[in-house]
Amino acid sequence: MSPIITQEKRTIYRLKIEGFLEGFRRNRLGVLGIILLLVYIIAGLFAPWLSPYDPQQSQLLADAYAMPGWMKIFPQFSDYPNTINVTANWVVQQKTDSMAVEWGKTVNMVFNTTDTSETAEMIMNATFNYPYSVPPQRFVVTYDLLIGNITNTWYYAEMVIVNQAGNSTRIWILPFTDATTEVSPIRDSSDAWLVKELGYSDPKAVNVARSHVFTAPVKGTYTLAFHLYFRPDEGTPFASATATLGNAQVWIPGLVHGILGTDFLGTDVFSQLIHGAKISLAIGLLAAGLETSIGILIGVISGYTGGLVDEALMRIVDILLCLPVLPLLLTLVFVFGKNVFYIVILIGVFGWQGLARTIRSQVLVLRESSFVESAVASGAGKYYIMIRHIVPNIFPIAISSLVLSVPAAILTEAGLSFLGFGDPRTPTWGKMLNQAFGFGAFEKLAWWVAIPPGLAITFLSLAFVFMGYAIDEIVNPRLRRRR
Amino acid sequence: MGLRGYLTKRAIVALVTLFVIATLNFMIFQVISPLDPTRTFVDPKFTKAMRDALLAQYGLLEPIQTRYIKYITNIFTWNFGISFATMTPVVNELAWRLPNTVLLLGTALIGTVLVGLPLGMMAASRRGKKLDMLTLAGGLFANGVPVFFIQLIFLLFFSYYMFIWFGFQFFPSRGMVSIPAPTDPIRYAADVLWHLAQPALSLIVGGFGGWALYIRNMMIDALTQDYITTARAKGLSERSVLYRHAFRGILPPIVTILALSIPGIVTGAVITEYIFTWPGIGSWYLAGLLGADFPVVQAVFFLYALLMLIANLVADLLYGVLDPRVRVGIRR
Amino acid sequence: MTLLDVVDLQMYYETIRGWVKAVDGVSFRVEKGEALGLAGESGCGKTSAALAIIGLLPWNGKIFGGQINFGGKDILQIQDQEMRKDIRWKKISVIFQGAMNALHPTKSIGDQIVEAITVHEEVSKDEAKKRAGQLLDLVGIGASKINRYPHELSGGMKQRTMTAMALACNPELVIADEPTTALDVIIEAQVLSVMKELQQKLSLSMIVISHDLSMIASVCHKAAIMYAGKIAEYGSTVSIFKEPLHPYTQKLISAFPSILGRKTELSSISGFPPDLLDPPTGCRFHPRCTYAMDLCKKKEPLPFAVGEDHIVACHLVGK
Repeated sequence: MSPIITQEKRTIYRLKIEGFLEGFRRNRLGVLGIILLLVYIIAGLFAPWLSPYDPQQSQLLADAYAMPGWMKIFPQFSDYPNTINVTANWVVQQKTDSMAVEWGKTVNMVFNTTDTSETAEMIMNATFNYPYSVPPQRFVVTYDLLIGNITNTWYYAEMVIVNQAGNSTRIWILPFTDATTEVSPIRDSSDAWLVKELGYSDPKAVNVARSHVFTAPVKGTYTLAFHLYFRPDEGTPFASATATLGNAQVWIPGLVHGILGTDFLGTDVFSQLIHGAKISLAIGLLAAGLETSIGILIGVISGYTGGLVDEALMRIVDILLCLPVLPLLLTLVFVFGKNVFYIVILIGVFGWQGLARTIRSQVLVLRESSFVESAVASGAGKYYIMIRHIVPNIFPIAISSLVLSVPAAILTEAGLSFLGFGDPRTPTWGKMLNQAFGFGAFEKLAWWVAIPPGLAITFLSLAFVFMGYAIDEIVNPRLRRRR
Repeated sequence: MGLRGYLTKRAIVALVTLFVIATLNFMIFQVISPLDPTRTFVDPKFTKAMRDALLAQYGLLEPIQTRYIKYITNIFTWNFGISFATMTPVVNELAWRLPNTVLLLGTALIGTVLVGLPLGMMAASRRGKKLDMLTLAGGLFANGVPVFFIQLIFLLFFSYYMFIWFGFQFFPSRGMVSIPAPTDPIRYAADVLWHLAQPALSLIVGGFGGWALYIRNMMIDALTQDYITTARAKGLSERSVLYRHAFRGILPPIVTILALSIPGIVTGAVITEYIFTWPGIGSWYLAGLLGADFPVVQAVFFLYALLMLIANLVADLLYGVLDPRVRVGIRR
Repeated sequence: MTLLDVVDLQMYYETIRGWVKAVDGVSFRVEKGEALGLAGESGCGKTSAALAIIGLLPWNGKIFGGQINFGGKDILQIQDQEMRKDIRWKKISVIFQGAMNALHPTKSIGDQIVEAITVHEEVSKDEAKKRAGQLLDLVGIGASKINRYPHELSGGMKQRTMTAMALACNPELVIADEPTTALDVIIEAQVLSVMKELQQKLSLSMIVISHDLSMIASVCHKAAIMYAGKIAEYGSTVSIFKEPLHPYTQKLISAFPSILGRKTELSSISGFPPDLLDPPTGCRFHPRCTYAMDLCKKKEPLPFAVGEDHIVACHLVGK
């Protein structure tokens, strides 16, 4: 091709692109679409920095279905508890003389007596502050305890919480024993056996935190009391033992948390949302890209080659179009496994038929055009014509179709995940909705678990819908708005 | 070629397609699936003899070719086998589930078209004005929102929040009838309608925007055609031009889209029926899949494909009736 | 007697870049029983003028001035309702350019003609159908084809169908917009002969819009040559063709090679049609005129009557 013609062609392409961009810029919805898309791309790229937690690793940040933190501006929620995670330090409340205490990183107690007729006891207190007037649903107390070097004595220990009304609730007991004890109890107020230990036959009937410990007045200081009681063997010359008590860790999962609260496992919803962005974007673009590529390929080949190849391909398209997409995807995912790659490929493989038909009709028209005729006349090969002449002319439709098939792909994947057929390892928004629906978010009116992922899906789809609409208006001049 | 010839050709093609689909169906579920269907309902404590007897009952012992032939012939008699889960013929349950789905989706489709079509036409005739912009925005929005999200919001608000605020569910959250179901037929019908409201309404809300947008775009396209100018020059009122000429011109593709959207809605019903626990074939399909009840899955899948085939055929038929250009064999 | 009197019509199109002055002060008359040819290059405003007459402006077109006097009133001023009911098709009908798409694809041609009749007249459907058949006979298609669809007809037949439809209500004025442009020469001859026959038989008043001067010469009694939104020359076909006075007209006529006589080089008019957004000052033809004078650049030539039947707008003539 002579250099003049190539240069002219380049100018034409440049003008076409410029005209396109100009038209795009004028279309408000198109710009909106791009802005939205950028928001998602940024969210996807900067996920690890934007979201404070890694959604896969960080569970139990707060109570299940904790509300978003900013809800506290509403008066009825203003005194809801945030998560409390404190170390309560022990102080001696009361002790018999035969017990000595050494302070270090842990509390070391030594029991030593020669008078084996006297019992000894030690009460250690650790306080923590609960500055909210709304009681929590649950609390967990952990500590390390080692009672050893036991000589000639029996002992028992218990851990009790005393609230401001003076009621004490026993959360742990070690019955009389003379053996060494080395334990690291994790006392969770919602554990069934703890509730049973308190005497209830039906652990679900009572919430220990609310009905026993955090009763009115709720706000204030609570005391953990560690009670150690020695009873030496009578008649022995001496009795001794040592006890080491680590600091108590009090974890009270809050009822509010973060920007968007937590889900049924206590995971931060906002982090899940942010991390879902790049997955959904990737899935949508990849599936749509695959769809469009296959569609163009089949459409061009079928339209240009004609004859038997065309008939055969179109029959296949007809058959494929009769297959119901979602049920088919469900079955195939069930058979091949819930893997995100398979899902992308499946969506792509079953989505190209419509485009193929449209492109084929375009190609049929293009085939009769004069520049194709002249190319054939000058001896150009079939593939050359297809690539150099046909494809560039179907480009506008292809681009429009690509952009518009992304939302469909995203929605299909969301649907699959929602039904539980998505990849369980990828944190998609569909999965969040599935968990919301299946794990009781609705009963608990936890809208922050159900609504944000849905909105995220919506706006990402809308970004592409708007852009597609803008492109359509430019490519199809009959739809242009009046000035 | 004429209308009859055109139809005959399409019908033959449809039959062949049906056959291919049935074969595909068979292949997917019996051959490709690596899962052993016997695992789910055969007790491992069964002796081999007992197991074989059970398998024989389901016809699973014979070689693949025989099974295939039996499968194809059975389809023509609506014999879809026996459900692994209920041990009863699939057709029985299909018979009472299918109408439920049809009820739900029929209502939704009719509602969507009743709202979307006039809206689209009005928007096209008032192009550039407020109604058009709103329709455009609404339609675009509808294309982006996942329908199941709309349904979840509906559910959250009408069933759960309403319950917390007012003590009763504005619309029930599950099922097609209350338990226990009212005996009086009128009450029963009202009960069903009450249960139907939420799923149907959510489908309509999610669907009418897309329809309106589509109709609007097609009408605008039609209104640029030369024959519209002719119609106006003839002195026809704007209303006549809109309905008798523009709309009549786009009627073929609209009817096609209508016929073709039926299967789309039917298959999409899987999610709707799941969310609202509606006893139709969609939720049945899902349950079947999760429970490895393959005869059920196979039957519903085939039914879906059959439905789509019929819809395509009807669409082609109607197109041929409405647009005489097609009868000559011009491929659209 | 004068049927249609267009006086100083101005119609502009609104575009992103400004107002396109498609019809800028155009005046002509159509006498009863006569055919007026409106000639000129593509894009000179002919179709726009025709559309303006029946009030079918495109969405960005606007009348800026002038009158169109028909039947005793200025039809630019009447309400849309009146225009629709009384004027359109009943008194003035149009045969559109490129009848390929001007007919509704899914209605039979019989139905479309019947519709044209029943909208304006209180006749029964059967009566209307009969008349439609007669019209089809008139144009040479034949009443037997009354139930055919447009795609089943050839280009020439479609054009004749449109002609039949245009005559359905016995209008006083028929506007034919490029009636033969899309047709090959043989069909063109057919259509032309039908038109001529009809015009003579029914004493139709017509406006024939075309860029084909030879067609205008064979069909029309009067001709108006348009250039860049203005009338360059206007008069009886005979005097215009025998004695073209405007340089543009001269060039147009001489652009047609003659079968008779010696072979000469094809002559054409240099340059391109002017941009109607920003037309040239003075006489709009001056950039392409071989006789252009200084005056032509500055002052717009006004129509000047030469003889009984001949008006020219050129500085070379008159003064």
